[in-house]
Amino acid sequence: MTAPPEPAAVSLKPARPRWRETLGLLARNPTAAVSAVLLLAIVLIAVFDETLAPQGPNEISVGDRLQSPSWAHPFGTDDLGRDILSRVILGAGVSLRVGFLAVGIALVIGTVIGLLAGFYGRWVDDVLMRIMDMLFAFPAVLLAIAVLAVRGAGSGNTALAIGIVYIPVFARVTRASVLGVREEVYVRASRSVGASDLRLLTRHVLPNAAPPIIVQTSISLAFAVLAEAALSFLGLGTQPPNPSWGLMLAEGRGFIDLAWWLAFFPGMAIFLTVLCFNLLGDGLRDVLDPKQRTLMAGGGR
Amino acid sequence: MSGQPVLEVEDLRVRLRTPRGPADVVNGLSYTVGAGETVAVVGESGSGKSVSVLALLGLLPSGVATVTGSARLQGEDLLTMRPDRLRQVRGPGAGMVFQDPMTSLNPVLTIGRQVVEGIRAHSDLDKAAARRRAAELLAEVGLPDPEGTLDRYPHELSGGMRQRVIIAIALSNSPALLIADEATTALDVTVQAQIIDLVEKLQAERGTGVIWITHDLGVVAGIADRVLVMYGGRCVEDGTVDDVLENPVHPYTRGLLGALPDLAQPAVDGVVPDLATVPGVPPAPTDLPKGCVFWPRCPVRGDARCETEQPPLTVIGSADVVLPHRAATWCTERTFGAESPGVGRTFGAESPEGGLR
Amino acid sequence: MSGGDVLVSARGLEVHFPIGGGFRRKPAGVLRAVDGVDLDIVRGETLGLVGESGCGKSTLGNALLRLVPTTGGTLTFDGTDLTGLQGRRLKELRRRAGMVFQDPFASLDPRRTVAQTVSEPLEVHGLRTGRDKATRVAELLELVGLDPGVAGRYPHEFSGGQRQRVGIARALAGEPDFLVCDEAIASLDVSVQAQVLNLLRRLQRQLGLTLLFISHDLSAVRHISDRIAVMYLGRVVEIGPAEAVGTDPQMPYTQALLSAVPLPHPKLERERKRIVLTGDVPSPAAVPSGCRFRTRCPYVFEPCDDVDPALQPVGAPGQQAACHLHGVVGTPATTPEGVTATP
Repeated sequence: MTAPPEPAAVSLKPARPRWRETLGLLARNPTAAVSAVLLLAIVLIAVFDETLAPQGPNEISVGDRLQSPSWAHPFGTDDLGRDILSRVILGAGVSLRVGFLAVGIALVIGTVIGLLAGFYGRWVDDVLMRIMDMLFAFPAVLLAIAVLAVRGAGSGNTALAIGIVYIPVFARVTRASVLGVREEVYVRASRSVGASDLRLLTRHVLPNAAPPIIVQTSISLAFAVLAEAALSFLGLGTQPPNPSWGLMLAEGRGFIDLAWWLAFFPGMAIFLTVLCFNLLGDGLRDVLDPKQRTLMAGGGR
Repeated sequence: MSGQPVLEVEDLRVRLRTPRGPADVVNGLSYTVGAGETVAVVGESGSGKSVSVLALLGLLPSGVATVTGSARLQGEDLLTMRPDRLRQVRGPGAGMVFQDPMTSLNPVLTIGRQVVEGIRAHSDLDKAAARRRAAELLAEVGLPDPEGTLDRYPHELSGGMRQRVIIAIALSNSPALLIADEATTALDVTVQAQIIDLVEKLQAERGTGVIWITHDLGVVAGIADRVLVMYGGRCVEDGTVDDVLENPVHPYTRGLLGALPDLAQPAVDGVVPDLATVPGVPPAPTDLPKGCVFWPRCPVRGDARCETEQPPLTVIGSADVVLPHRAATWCTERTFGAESPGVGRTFGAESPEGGLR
Repeated sequence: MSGGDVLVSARGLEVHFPIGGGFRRKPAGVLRAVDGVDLDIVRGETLGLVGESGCGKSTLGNALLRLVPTTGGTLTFDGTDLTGLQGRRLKELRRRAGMVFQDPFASLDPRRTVAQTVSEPLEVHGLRTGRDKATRVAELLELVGLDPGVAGRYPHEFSGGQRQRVGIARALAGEPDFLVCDEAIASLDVSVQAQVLNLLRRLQRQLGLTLLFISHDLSAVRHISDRIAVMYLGRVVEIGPAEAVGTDPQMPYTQALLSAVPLPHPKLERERKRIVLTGDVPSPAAVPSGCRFRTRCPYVFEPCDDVDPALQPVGAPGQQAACHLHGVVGTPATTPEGVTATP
């Protein structure tokens, strides 16, 4: 025990920030770490798509139609002679933008609804969750089609449509998590020293209820990328000639026996991205579990 | 206490594999339990008291725990026993009652199903006979309306009633040994008194040997014939209940007794003195100190060997008694007696806990 | 009642919870957790509140701090009526009255450092900012016997006793007059319990706190308290100086409770006669008519069925018990709900 005679001011900053600990633990989970690195690469590709793409996505070159993969066109060319590699790279931007935007909408709205419903309970819970049930009961694709029918096709509206579909998912996950956290003694302890509801919600309930929401975010991103592809495939999402993985898949469908690479490479891009988001979600689930955390970090009682 | 002991444990050691390295949870424990005798194992959390009995019945996960030594239940070594034989022994040989009466029963099965299951696993009674036997058992542990209770679910019973059901299940095959692991800790004192009375009564009727694991020295004083004080996976003091509680020798036992607020003799001149405390916290089993296991927290430390050598259990006073009083300490100071209300008061008043591990 | 200046006062205090029910559903019954408590806590004293699980002692402690809503009776803190207190004045109550919780592993937010936890009251009430805040946190940690250097650590790095000290530091941060300790030592090891008990006693003297020490452990309550109140099924059934209640209880329930406490003296234990109560505590959803202890009382006689006994002075000065053995005083049972005892 070192007891200085005059209590000096202590540092109120944590000795070891929690997020850094989380990253450290994630790094020790090989599957999740590889997924995270791959996703980071995909995001970087999406950000620097213009620079990275060897050609413009819509540069038509009739002479180079339906060429199989080669050094000049690693992923081959499509029926209009457009470079598939370039279109896959630019498609990453479209797919991820729609994915992030959609999940962002669902995350913000769904989490707020779940937080209020779970924390206040009673009629707030009843009213909010019944609305969520109705939204949830509506067939997802139909709902998306309805939104797109009203607002018109396009990637922004696709994101909005997918986002609305996922609101109840986030609301439910958040509510379930909040229901557990709300009863924790530390929440009551905080109330006992006079903390307001807003402070309880933002400083104690949300941070402690966050792990399942983070996992859900990762998994929903996978679904959103898939949904964007599906809607584009159906002709409701991104409109040609803009490259989107789903749209490319749809366009390549007709040539599947003639030129497999048209559908294969965008398909692989979707597969890889979705897989990585899912694996990262699983990894996060393990890392954010307090029990696992104590074991791995070597803290605890 | 006569004839062959029900259980003889010799040099029991348990090592657990943990993410933080091997943990020596039990380090050479030896004791015997005679027929009709109650041995209390006392210790704080992490002392290894619960693990030591789980190890006896093979209830530790085999991939994680390494158990050595011997534990002969009516002559048969439990530690080298084949798993199927061990399962047979668990009912009729040794019954077990755990701390939490809420979780020891399966919530989706009726009490009847669970008691009957226990009986039928070790006998060839048919269903109807087993049910009659179950009702008898519930009556024996003092449950009102035993027939009706058979058809109820655990959540319909109070904590005390549930613990009675668990005792009924543990006793259903008339075991030679009953192990109670903090069996009354979760109960209120008035209910605890009922359960202790019940176990004493049944024990007297059947001559069951009892191992009573607890942290509560008051309970120990009431029920035990013999006491084993555990610290850091070792027995640091044992002997008859009178010897250990009235005349403790080991500084840890003295500290523990001094730390108890005592209903019997609190005020001195209208002022209640501060409690004696043992500074610091018990050692982690992954990180046991060199030398005497209690040394880092010991207020006495009167011997050069304290820091380097674990003292053996040595007999205090006369060795020519059935149960000699033994303690594992280098400490030779014996000047305090039972008459002193402040046993171990030398430990000083409020002492801050040590720094972080 | 001993003289002196009353800090907290409850009269006929009730906390009833509806059982079941919800959105457009009628509750199936009423749980009478606190059911007519009269209690005065004198400034500067330590009042011990004992009782078995389900007797409502924790609910009462929470109700005194307005952490659960009261459904009847009056409650004052330093002369201010607490029932219906809102907004800024409720917040001020929360500064002036702190609480220490049972489980030190659950009462600290695992995602916040010790400093963040201890400084929360300072931030909430705007008491200190910047460097002052950090100094105050260090001061508080020293006050409870912790090294201020640990301020940046997370709760999982601490032992139970250390965490409880953090909890106490948080409760003291707003410089409260009144501290409720709700089973504050129940989850700790014996040797650590003693450390925390001594700490609480020192703080009580040093800071002139008024302490409500809620526990099921009579020995601990006897050790720390000036006066003891015994609760049974939502009601205070005996109250008085610790010495008197601890050695000469006047209510049969207190007698049984005392006799059931195991003492660490083998010889004494063997001689001692234990009053073993039969049966279980009735559910607070079905409180017996008349005296609520009558279903388990060894001395039960006629008036017990019909008359709900009131606290009356018996035994030592300042001692009160609610029992007809000392003369029938109380209100006849005319509960229209027809609550009857379950045998």
